[in-house]
Amino acid sequence: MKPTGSDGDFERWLERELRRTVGSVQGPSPRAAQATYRAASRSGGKSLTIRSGIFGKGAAGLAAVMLTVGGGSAVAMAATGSANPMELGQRVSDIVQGCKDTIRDQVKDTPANAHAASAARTNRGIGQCVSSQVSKNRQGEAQQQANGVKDADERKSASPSMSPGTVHGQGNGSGSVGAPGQSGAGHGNSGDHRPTPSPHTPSPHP
Amino acid sequence: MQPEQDQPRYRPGSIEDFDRLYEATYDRLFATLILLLRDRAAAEDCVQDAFLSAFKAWPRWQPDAPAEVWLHRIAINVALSHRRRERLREVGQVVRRMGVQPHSDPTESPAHELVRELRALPPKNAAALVLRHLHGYSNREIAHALGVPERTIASRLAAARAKLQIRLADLRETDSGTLPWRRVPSDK
Repeated sequence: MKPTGSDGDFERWLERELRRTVGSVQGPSPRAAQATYRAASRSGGKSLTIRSGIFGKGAAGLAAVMLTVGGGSAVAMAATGSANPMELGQRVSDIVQGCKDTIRDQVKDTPANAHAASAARTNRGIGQCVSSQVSKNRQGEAQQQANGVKDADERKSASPSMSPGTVHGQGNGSGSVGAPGQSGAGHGNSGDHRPTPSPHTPSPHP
Repeated sequence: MQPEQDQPRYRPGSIEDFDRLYEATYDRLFATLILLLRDRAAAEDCVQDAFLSAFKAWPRWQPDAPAEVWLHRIAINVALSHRRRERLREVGQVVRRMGVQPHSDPTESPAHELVRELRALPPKNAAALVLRHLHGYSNREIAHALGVPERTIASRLAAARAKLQIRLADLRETDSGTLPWRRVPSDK
């Protein structure tokens, strides 16, 4: 601990002390799955994609339509048939895109109509279109739910002694009023991707 | 720092690669920041902020320097911003307590004179010392990490080392009279 010379000694001492100091405060190896950026990407990154996808000029009224028709997210869920926010966003995006296409097709059918062309450029009328799609979906959803309940009741009355799990899908259909097959909709996105952390050995090589 | 050919390849925008980068570099970034900042919690927060900023910019990352150097640049900037805010807060506290004895910071580690004196240096000089003597960065890499011209690095390092050496020597001589290195003449 008593080296000779000045600059070289000091540099060596400095390196040793820095490593010793840092070594005494190092924590456990980090896991990417727990990092802030991962949380941000899970919550913000995907919603950013959806936002940029659906909130075009003409589609900005969609949120208003959803809220006006009544009840915010509950209505949105009913309209799109999904409780999964990611799927919900995707379906909303599909509805808006479908309406845009419909308006564009209408212009193609009447090429001489300048008013229609202008409407297509600005996506005029998309609000009505989206609104009607939402209504249609809600009606369809209600019908499906009613059928699902009816089917379940019929199955129940047809075979009252059947033990649970002997018929595929029965557990899903009888436990909730959701449409058949709907219960699995969110499963694809529910898995939390956690990469196995690679062993890290910080090895400074001055 | 590993030689360039031994460094892992990363694809800009790839989340898997960014995860790999995070796990490979977190400890080294944390080590740098804990030496530049006041406490462990601040260093952890700043490292996470740095990775968040880097993640946002990851699709645009250009491999003209090692990814770790790029991350260090972001992390050091985050740390410097944190220190500026910290200084402002300290000024506010001084004004508020006017005449009242200050309390010691319970989160501060037992007075480690090297770390204390390192923090007393101009921040970029301190960072240059850490990058060189802890991580073994070359002048070019330090210049990239600090966003300063490469030709200024050698002089910054020399000045920072000399200042640190003198200050530590003064402390050592005052305390115990022993030095683990030979004292530098003060005109150097």
